[in-house]
Amino acid sequence: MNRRKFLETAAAMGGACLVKACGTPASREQPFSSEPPRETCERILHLSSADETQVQVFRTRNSVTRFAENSIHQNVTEGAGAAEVVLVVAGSVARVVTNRLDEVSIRSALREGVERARRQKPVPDFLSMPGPNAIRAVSRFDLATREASPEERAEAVSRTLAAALGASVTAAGLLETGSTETALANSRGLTAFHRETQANFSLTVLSEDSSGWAQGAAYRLADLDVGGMTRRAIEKAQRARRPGAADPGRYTVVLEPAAVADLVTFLLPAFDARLVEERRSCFVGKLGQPVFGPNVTILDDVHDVRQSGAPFDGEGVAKRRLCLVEDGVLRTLVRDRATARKTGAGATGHGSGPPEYGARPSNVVFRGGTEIRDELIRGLARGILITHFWYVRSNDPFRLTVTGMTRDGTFLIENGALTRGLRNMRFNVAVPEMLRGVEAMSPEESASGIESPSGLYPALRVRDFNFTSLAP
Amino acid sequence: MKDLVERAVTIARSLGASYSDSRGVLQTWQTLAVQNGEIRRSVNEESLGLGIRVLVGGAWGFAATDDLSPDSVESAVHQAVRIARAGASVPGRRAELAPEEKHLADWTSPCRRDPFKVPLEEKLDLMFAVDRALRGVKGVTSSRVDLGFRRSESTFASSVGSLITQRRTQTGAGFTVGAYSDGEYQTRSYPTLFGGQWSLRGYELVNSLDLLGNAVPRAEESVALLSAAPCPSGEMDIILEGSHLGLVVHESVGHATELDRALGTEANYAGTTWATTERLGRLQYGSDLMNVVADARPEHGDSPGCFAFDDEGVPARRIDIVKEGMLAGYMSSRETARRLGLPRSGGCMRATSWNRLPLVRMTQVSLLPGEWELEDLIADTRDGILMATTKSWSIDDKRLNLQFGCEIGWRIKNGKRAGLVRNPTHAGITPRFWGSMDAVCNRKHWALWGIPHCSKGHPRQAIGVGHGAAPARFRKVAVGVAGP
Repeated sequence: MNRRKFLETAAAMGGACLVKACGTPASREQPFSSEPPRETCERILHLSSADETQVQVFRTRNSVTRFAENSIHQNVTEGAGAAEVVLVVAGSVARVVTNRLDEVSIRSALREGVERARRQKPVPDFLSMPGPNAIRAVSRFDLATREASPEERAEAVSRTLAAALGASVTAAGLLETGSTETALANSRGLTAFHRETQANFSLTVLSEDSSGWAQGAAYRLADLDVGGMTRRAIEKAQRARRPGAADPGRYTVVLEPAAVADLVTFLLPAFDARLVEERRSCFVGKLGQPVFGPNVTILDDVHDVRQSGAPFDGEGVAKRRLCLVEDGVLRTLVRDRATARKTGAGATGHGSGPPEYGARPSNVVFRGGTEIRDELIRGLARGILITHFWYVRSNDPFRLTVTGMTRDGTFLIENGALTRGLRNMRFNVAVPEMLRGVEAMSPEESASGIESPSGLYPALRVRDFNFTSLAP
Repeated sequence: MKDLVERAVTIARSLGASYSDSRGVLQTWQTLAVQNGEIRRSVNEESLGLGIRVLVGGAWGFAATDDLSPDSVESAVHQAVRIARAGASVPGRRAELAPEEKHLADWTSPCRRDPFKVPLEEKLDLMFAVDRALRGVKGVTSSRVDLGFRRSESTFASSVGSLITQRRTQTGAGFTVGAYSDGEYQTRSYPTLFGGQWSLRGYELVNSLDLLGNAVPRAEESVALLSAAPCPSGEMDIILEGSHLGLVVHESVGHATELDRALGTEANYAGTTWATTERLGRLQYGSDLMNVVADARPEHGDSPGCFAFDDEGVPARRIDIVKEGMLAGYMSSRETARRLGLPRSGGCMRATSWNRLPLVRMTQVSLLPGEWELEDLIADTRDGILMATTKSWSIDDKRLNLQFGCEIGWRIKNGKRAGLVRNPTHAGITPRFWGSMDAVCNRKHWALWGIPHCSKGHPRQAIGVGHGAAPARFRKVAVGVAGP
């Protein structure tokens, strides 16, 4: 959670492009702290008196142009760097996180952390930090995206707003650009570094009685198809006008990739070997057993360029490409080093690090099929198309039953075609059961939901999807 | 910090900003967790920085930096102005602000025992004692005890001339215990979910909760739930205990009456609302027993939603949200209040940190107490379920179709508790649900529940809020709705 928070909050100020156009003096062109994260890591390691020390330094630039009611209404840029230090003293582990990276502040933070570790009970069976390991780099960095200006974002957004006005609909969304650098080093000689850029676009289009949505991400702003997403969201909103009502019940549904991401996200904690060992996962006793339908294969692969994130975990272990589920059979779990030692298997590079431990897949590849979305619809006599979901929450985190609402484009399918928009519907489904009812899939593509992280997901045609009520 | 934030505002004015404000914030946290007999979290964090918000040509710009050197702060102001100008270059709505007076203030939240000065050993001794008590109950398979402490010191300056310093200390404490058997896993949390109770108090909160005294009863409940009857399906009267009802207020009333949502500015993420502005004063939200206020003042309580001034320099206020069942008001900012024609802001603009833009956020949004004693209410219920401690929560993007689950229920038959209910759930449509409320318990049963992380905006901001509620009864509500 801390890492995520700091990834979200991080970002450097300025940048030559921004400052130059602003006409500010050259003396202000340097970002707030020009020390490379790797050097910050080394500096902190050098200052630590703990038995073992791990340092991660995060630094990001992040700028968001947000719009609603066909106007830009929030427009921000943020900058921050932070260091997260794990300190081990006589087998006890304490963590400190600070964005005050001057030497006096770092010394003070380290002193407090070492003292806290000294006063705690040792972690049973404490595992020393790992030494150097080979980490295969992944390239997802684009200078133009990191340096994207507010004028560039405003220009792109203005085209979307003009399209919305032209279609007599209302647009709300965001265009975000930024970069993240992560450096990790420990006192046993391990070093790792990753940097990447991000460009995200999200759009909700509202008409009087309907809405449409599209969202996409890329590491290059130039690869973000803002125009295409704008057209799709507008088309959905227009097509969904004058929505009808479908009675609650079980339907065959076509889930677009974002909707699949919204549901499969709830599966991911269950792959943690520690959770299985603590009997808090639905995969207890299921390794090597069929858990989903035979057409479901799920991998984790950080090296696919369409993914995001560092190729190492919170302990500095290289992320391995894993086949979690193959042809419906549970093949492997994700393991941090402590759990790996207990189970006799190797760490997979998905751990959060001591003392919290735990692991989860972070770069899902849900292997798709060959049919395009329209073919999934064409093959259906009666069903429902779902664009994405909203406010999905677990009813039972053990059985992975979840509830939520459809949002921004729910359509009735009749005789292989979309015939009308539908009012939003509430569902209650068990995700494992749903994945035993997959009839057909499109090829996987990059997708994320409003609340679910990005991965590679196909559209799915699924039978017996359980709707329990309607939005008024 | 005062010099820096005032300087930032001065520079913004010189660059043409019609309005600006700046916040310098130092935040410190400590979070501790003991899980299954081990320390699983021991973290101290700190974050220091400054944000500057400017209005140029009717468009907003915001920039933030963690480098507090004069050059860096000046650079941040230039960036904020540049961003605002880029926004102003695109046709669209222009921001105007409701009037606000200049305020000079220095406020510190009450904190009798500084949690950051309590010896670590005292904290861990309590946590391990609670953990041992939980795991000492036969059938328990997992346990987790959490303590959390947060302090923020915020210095705010605005071009109105305000200069406000606020120091807020928050404490959170609680535990969750789990039992697994034969493919069934059940949990109980105390005092509630979300890491327990959170208050704008010091370590005195921890001592007041009696975590140790409540450990064994909750652990026994988690084990007993494994063999409890499943929640029946159908329509039934339900009584919701206060901490759970507080979250129902949060989802179905609090978010629905944030004025920015009502105006459409959160449509892409959190959604809009059914409580649209043209219905103000005319919309029947619930039964005439329903009275909801948004009250950030310390007089209302000491949850994480309490403060003296919001993050655009408006004093904490009490606003009627629902009065005798009718929609009576919204939570607002200076900009949104102006759009609705209100004389001034509701004082609800808050940011999670120095690097976040203030947004309209819930404060302390509470259902006011009624007249009933809880035992009288149970005795008055012929056939129903008493539900406690939130386990699941979901509502649509207009805040109408809601579904909640609880950790535990007790069947009520002929006015008496008649056994445990496993996985109780209830669902409904907001005005019908609140319209079915026919009894609210009195102040003796009313408590203010702190929630440490309510998410909104992009970049997402998770902020602390509070909800006061006493147990209340709802007639003929759909229950047992979650079974696939």
